[in-house]
Amino acid sequence: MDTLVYVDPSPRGGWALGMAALLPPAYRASVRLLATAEDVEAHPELLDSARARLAPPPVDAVVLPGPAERAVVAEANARRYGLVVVPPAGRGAIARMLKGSRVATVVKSVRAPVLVARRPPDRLSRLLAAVSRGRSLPAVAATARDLAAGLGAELRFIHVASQVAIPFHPEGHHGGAPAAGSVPSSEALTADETIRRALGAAGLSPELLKVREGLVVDEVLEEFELGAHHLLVLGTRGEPAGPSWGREDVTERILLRCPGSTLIVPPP
Amino acid sequence: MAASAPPDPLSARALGVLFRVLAVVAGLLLFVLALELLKKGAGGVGPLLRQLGVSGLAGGLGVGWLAACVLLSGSPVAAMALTLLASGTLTTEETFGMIGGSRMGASFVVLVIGALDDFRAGRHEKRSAYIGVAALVATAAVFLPAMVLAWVGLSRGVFAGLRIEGRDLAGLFERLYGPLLAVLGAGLPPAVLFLAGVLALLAAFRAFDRALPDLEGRESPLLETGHVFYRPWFMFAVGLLTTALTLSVSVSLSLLVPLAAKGYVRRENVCPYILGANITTFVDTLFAGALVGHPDGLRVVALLMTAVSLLSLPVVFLFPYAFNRLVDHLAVRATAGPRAIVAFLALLFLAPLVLIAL
Repeated sequence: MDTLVYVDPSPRGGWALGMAALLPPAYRASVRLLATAEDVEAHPELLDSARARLAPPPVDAVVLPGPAERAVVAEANARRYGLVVVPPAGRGAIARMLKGSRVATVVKSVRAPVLVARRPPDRLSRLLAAVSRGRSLPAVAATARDLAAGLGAELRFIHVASQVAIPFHPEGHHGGAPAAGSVPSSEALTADETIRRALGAAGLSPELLKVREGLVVDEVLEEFELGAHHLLVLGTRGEPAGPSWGREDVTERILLRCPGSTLIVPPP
Repeated sequence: MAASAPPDPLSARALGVLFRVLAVVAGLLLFVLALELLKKGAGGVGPLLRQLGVSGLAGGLGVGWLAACVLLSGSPVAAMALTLLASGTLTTEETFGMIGGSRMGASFVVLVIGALDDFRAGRHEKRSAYIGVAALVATAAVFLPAMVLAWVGLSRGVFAGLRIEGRDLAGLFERLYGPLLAVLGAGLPPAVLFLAGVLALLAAFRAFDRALPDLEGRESPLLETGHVFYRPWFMFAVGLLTTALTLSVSVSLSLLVPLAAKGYVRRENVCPYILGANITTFVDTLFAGALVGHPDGLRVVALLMTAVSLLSLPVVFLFPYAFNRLVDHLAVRATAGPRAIVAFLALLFLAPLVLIAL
């Protein structure tokens, strides 16, 4: 699997290298480093020191003109990468309002899974995957399974039911028909039943799923912190279904607030 | 046997539109008639209110709150308060309190429906009552400080010159209803006239309700949520618009039920919707304030509407998620079990009683 790792001279650039070094061997079979021309000009040793941190696997490098998000998106879409590792830019709320979020831009524009690297732990031993019954469910389940197996890590799944309970509806009805392409297609299934079946189809135990009720972002982040997890795996909705005004992406909000590293998996 | 021709869809749609227009016109005529009946009958309610010890701002707040719980709607109570002001039965501060109290009790209907469903199903966690509690908590969190702000404005003469000249309109309604009101006024005691006014008011809101399209049977303009939620400002605008059309926060909150059933509305969307609904629920009360003919009628409503808007806008645009978390936390705690929900319902009735007793 080809992995693209973006590096910059800031401490956050070190996080991306640190997380890449913790990945299972399958993800490090072929690693390409990416830096912007501006950073390489200001820090000529940047790529060599990064290469040294990721050795022994073969590591090559590419330099593209900045800004960082443009360089990452251009390189990630130029080849079929299995994973893109990028650290957050560390922008504050106002800078993010003016310039946008680097990682959110990359996640929205890149077709490959994106690992948003935050301060790396000693090893990745506890993984949490947040799932809903959207199109990305099978991909999230499979990616989390493979990653946990490669790392020998403990894996848990969480689903948050944020629907408003409806008076005088049959017990267990949470509202909302399954999204197009969800697994399986039976509309009679509740979300947690659908997810348990999808986990079973991916060769995982349905017992790994924990269902919480509440606000999606808060419940996912609380579960992540309570379980002292090292990596959060999330799905994304993929292609936007129309104009996005008035709507916000849940994945993006979790991504921006999560204290740990986050792996965003697009639908197939 | 000849098969009957299928109905022409165009003429069926035209008939539907005509029916809705007629329902709006009937609602408006009933609304004005109700205001006139309430004004004429208000003298019969005054002694009852005094016997109950309703006086001052707290008394007005308590009686408005309780009346909205009993009538399962806040808008008729606010309109009643204005007619009681116009007839001299209530003071300006009592009217201010009663209109404010009517908003606190307006979400009671949603809570009652949810709680009944939970008790019927024997659920330990009162999940269906959640939306009613969330509506009440969100309303109280904004409305109580907004009342303080509006009260400061009222006592300092803000909007003192605010008037909408409705003399021509009043003359038209006088010609329309004058003879009927004269006959009823001569033949019926004031308390009966007041009761007739309340019934006419409820009928008016029902007519407005009939003019609205049925959301249960058709596609909603909203999108089903999955990986996306609606932004707070968007749901705030939906709440503003829906309540401006339905003229009742109770009706617009009840509309959340079919929307939530189809997965269009989630916990994340409820608070901004309620905050928007709490502003435009004053639209009909503004209309009533302009019609009742008391110099403070329109002013009281305008002050409350402005204060609620001033406090809601920062919540929606600056810290919507923190506010949502707070409301969700309280609603989850209040619906955690039968004891919690009974305690919450008791509080809902005890608070206005205590206010009346003050």
